[in-house]
Amino acid sequence: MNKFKLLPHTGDWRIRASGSSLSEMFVAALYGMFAVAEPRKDEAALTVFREFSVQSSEVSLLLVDFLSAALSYSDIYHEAYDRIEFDELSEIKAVGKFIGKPVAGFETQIKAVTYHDLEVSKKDGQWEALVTLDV
Amino acid sequence: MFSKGHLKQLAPYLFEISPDIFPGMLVPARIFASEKILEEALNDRSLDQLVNVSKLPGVVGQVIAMPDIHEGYGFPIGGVAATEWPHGVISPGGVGYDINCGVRLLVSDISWREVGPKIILIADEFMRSVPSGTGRGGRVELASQELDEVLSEGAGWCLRTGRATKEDLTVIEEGGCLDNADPKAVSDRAKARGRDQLGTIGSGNHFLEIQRVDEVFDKETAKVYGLFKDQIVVAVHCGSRGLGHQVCTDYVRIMLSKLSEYDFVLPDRELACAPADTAEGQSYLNAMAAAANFAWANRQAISHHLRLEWRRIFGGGHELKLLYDVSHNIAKVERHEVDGVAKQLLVHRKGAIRAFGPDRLEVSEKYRAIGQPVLVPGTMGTASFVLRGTDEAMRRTFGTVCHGAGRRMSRHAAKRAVSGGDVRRALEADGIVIRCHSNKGLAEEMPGAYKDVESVVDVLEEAGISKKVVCLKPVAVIKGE
Repeated sequence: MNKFKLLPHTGDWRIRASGSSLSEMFVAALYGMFAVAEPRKDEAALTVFREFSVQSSEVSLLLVDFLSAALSYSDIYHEAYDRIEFDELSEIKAVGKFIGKPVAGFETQIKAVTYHDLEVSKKDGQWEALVTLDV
Repeated sequence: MFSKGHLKQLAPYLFEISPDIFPGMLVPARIFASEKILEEALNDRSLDQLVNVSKLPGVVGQVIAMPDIHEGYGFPIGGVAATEWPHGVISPGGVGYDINCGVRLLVSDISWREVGPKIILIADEFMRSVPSGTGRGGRVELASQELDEVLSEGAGWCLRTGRATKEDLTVIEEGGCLDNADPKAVSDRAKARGRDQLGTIGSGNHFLEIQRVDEVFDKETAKVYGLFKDQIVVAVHCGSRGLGHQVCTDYVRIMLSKLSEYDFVLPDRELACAPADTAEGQSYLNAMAAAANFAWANRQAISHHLRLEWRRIFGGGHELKLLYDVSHNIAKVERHEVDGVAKQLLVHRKGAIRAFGPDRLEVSEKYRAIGQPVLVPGTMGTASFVLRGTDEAMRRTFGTVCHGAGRRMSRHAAKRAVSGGDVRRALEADGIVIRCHSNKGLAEEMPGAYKDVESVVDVLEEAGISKKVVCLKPVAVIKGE
């Protein structure tokens, strides 16, 4: 099960995402981001696939790059993503496809995924991330 | 962690954190605030962030917090810092993700008595003509060449394409165009985000607001600005949309990757920066300028559509004229005095606006003798203010004041405290027409989520860094389809 929690932050939104694997945590963070955005999906439309490839020096920066890619594509193509197919995922590289639907709009526009208070850790086999979104 | 004991009061409404209090501080941190606003600032990390900003390489004079200060990313929102030009740093976090988010005020020549019976019609037509652009595009989709022209020319592109008058450009900060803009410094991804967003307002705390001049404090300045009691005016608050957000995202990432090359150790990743005269620094400045130009073109394109609707409703004899357009997320090279010596500085304004006093050449000729118009919007249902810039601001704040009321409650807490429907009903009970596609965003923007704007503006007035001209009260709030 993908696990995320939305946390209060003065100006914006913060997500705590967790998973028993790196991919579960990444998926939970993606779900959390789109939970903040609240897309109005066009469920009758065809499913869309957007390829992504991101690379960073360490896993917390990779998570920001990954979510930023999803956010950018969402804004460019007017889509929201609720699944990911990973072709490759390590602590420094993520390649795959975002899968989702076109949207009629979002309740909230997310401006950016920030590095503010960014944390990614692995404890007792569980990955956990804290990410702040500028809204 | 910061505490009240670290503060020294220098004057009524002015407090200082001395640079010998925390290691690494290069300049004092000064806060313009009342006691109550200061107490609120101690509830989040905004003052810790201000102290961090005082450690940026090349920072000069003092770093400043305005009375609407609250926690941001790297820089606090309501924060001002100047670095030596050209060797001091430029920090994208000192501008913000929404590059050139700003406010403009359009003024009519008619009063509430004539507008009141048509207010619902006007609100409906404004709502229809200015999309939010979230999740779908606006009315204009720019080809690549056109987008590059917008990035290069800013509001000048709107003049060329029939969306602006020559007079409009004289009353926009920088004439609506920073001439160091370089479209090549803007990524393809940023351009793809902005391509269909010209003429869109965005969401969150962005808005159109129809307002009535409720009180005139300074008759002489009001006359120069073309303002009178009960006059109807229209405020537009929005920025560079996805294009600007992506520019900031791109360059924070680039600068983070280069920090070790400059031997910078920063207390906060969101303070990522580069010396302004490096390739990265120059590239960001040129991309920031391009995004700023997009925002000015955006506010101008929106104004064009509002004018068309206004003309349709009231006839060709009545126009909406532009009073002024100010940016509240930007960094610019300006000349200021530091310790009695005039210097070129790179002034970062993050949730803060330029407020130049009399006789500055940068201010439009029609306002130069009296001082620049300063636009401080409140929140939904509360007052907004037009003030004028003063010599005192030039001496103490690099000619800067606050940009609004400043948040004091998280969006999460605001949604728990009240429903969007309740907010709508309360505003409507006060006679304010609300137009937005859903109630969900209203709760997050409820007036109680922000500081009291009148208290914030009182600090500016008492400290002498801006002087009240008129108070505006909302009659309609439009959030975009």
